[in-house]
Amino acid sequence: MSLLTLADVRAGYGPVEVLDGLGLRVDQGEIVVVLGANGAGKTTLLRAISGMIPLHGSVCFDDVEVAGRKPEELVRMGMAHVPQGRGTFNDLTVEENLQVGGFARSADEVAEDLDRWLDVFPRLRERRDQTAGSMSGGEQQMLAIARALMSRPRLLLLDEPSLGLAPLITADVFERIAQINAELGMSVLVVEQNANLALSIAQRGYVLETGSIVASGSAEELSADDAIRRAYLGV
Amino acid sequence: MNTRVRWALFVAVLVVAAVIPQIAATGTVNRMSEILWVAVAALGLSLLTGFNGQISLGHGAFLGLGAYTTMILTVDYGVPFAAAGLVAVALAFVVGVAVGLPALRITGVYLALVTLGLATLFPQIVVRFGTITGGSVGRQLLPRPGYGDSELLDRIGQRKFLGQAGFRAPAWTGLADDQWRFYVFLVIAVVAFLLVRNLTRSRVGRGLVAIRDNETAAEVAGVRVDRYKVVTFGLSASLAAVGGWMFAVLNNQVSPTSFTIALSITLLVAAVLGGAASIVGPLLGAAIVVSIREAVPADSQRFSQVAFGAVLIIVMLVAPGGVVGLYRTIEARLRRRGAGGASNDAATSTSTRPDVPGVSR
Amino acid sequence: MTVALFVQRVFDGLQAGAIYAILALAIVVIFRASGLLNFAQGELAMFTTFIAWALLDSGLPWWAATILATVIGFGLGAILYRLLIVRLGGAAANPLAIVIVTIGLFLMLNDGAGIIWGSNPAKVPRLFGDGRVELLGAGISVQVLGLLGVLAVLVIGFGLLFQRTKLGLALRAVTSNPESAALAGIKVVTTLMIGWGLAAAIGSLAGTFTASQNLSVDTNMMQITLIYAFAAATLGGFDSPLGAVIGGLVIGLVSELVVGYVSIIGPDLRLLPGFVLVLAVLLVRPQGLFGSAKVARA
Repeated sequence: MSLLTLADVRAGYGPVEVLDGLGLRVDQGEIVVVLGANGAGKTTLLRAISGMIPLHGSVCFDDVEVAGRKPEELVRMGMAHVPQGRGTFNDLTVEENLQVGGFARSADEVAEDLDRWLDVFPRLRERRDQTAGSMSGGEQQMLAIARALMSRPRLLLLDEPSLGLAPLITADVFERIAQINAELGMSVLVVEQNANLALSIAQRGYVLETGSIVASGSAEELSADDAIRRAYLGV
Repeated sequence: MNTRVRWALFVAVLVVAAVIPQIAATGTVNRMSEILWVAVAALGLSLLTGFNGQISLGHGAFLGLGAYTTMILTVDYGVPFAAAGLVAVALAFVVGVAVGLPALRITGVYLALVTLGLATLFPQIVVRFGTITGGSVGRQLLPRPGYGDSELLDRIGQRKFLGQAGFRAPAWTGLADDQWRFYVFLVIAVVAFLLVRNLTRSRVGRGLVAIRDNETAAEVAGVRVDRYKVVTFGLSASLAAVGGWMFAVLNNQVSPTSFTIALSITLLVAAVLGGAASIVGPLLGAAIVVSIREAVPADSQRFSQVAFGAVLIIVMLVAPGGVVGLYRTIEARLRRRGAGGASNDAATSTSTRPDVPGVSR
Repeated sequence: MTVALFVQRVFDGLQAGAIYAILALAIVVIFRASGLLNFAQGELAMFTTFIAWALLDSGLPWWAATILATVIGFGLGAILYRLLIVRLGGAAANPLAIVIVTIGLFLMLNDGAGIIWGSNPAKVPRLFGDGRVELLGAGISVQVLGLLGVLAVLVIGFGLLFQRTKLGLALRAVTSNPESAALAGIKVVTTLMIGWGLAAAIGSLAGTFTASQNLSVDTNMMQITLIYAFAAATLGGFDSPLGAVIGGLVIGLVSELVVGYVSIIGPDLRLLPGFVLVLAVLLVRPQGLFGSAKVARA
């Protein structure tokens, strides 16, 4: 059953239109990857979905039309967005970052979830009282994911989690995402340039080129496609 | 407007400005002189804010520095007015650089803070050194009674310089004092405006705009950001001091109440209202501000102040480019419509001009 | 130089400094929440102090008028943010425009108050009465002690608010990364409205305390105080509430002692010591004594 459906979405910055009538779908419990090169519109796509920029067209989340709603409403409906660059609150401690992540929830739920994610990410527990800005890129990416999970989302939007990370750490991050998806049944929409890893955890994928979807299919199909292999898998 | 039309308009305005003093009453001529000193000082602010992205809330202090320097040098030391003006300009440059340097050390609007302090401090300094400045009542640009007769001055042969009462029209001109003064102001203003115009269109000017638009990028591109900013602030202070010289010459007296924070803000209003990132903007702004002041009765000046405050806010919210920016937008739109919408030449050619974006980015 | 005179001057300095500190606290709250300097902060305080005077005039006790004016100040600050500042797109987008807009507010509030309430000073009583306490031969007014007490309460209150409450967390998150804060479900505009409201409320206190000290309200009473408050915030660091308070007290003390003991400065140049101190701090330690380095330029 479909959790998120986009139809004919157009969005951009001022007079510049980046997304050119785009449609896609994420089902309940699914990991979906959107592959695209720099400037294809991946970040714009996520920003439009989570209400950070205005858009034309339809965004259906959980059978409700949510186009035009603000990010703070969408969080409360169960959508969490880890922005490009991780969106860390640099001057706040690790624990405070997580508390902000659970801002829309009650104090009890926050305390409970805090413990849970600090268990899942032991590095964060070690650095609990440190300011988040002082951590490494990999640690900040884990923090960003944990922060998003604090809102108990049903859909997690991830903007290039591999950006700026060493390959080993990237692999670790993707493994965690797959784990959490399996345990919680939470849907994930991840946009990536690193097609290899993303396709290895995803069920389905789309290919985005200059604001339009040019290909779609199951992860296996996409991995097997010659053109996609040449363009995104570096083979 | 193309260049030829601009120059034609420039000459036409000059001719009209030159003719008016021959037919208008003294009050009107002095009003026009006032517009010119406000315009020259606002031009300094426009150079700083509009082109370089720095802001000063203390240009009233530099204006005061120019006015007091002029008064003290001409009255107490018998220095000719022209020479006093040059000293005032140099002094303002030095003080401007000294004040601007520490503010450079920090991002954001610290220059605004430091200059606000300067604006508030200036009247206090004037009062503190009352023996020279005349304290809180101020002084006239006339020799102090008995001062010019002093034996010392006789001995060093300076007496002949003293006794000049204010700024007088030389006999050969056959002009009244107010007319002569206005023509001198007009020449000063034209020179100042042409200098700033040429500066902003030079390589240096492009550097200034680059700093305004993106300091880091400018630095990477090889612009000496710190040096440019400090020198711009110094030049801007110098222009304010020129305005101060004109103020002293026009009013024949200076007092600390003329150079409070209110003056600094008035200059800001003139620069912003006209269009801070333009050359004609400050002149338009000065004309509007002085005319409104003139039109409002003396006991209702608070209303014009409230209106100026509202103008600052409204301009920033609605038309950050001021009157000039508004004109450019309309012109560009008309031209686009004239071209049948097929070409967006007008839009691109205006938007790539360095002085269009106004104060806002 | 007598001990009694020295003690007297120290307490005079602290009294002035406490007011600078309170206004500096208001400036720092806004800077922390939105990265902006509000040049109308002093005039806003003057305006609400006139409101307090109007309430006093209508029969309310001075302390009640002070509290009510503080509440009104909160509303005024929040409305100003919502109606004006929010439209300019934040500090990063347009720092100069925001300076100019707050200067516009400065003019409107100053001359607006003059139009509404007249230019002549209006009389008000002391907030903590006329009592005096003997200390080392000097008579310290209860007013000073009360003021220092209020300052202490404000500092502790703000420490708790910022560090221990959800609102404080939201304010700090919005300061740190507004976009991320919105994604976490924080209503950024509402949070900043509260920040501006709080600042105006504290500023309002600085205004009524100034009036209580001068025994009158007039339209220009906060202008010099604003300069001192900016100096205090520069000295202490624009992102440090504690720094602002210590900065305020230091500026008050230094000004009073320099004016008292250095005859070449004298009362006419009261503003000079603070100004020089600020220039020195900007040259030596631009982020202020207690500020974090990120305010400074690399």
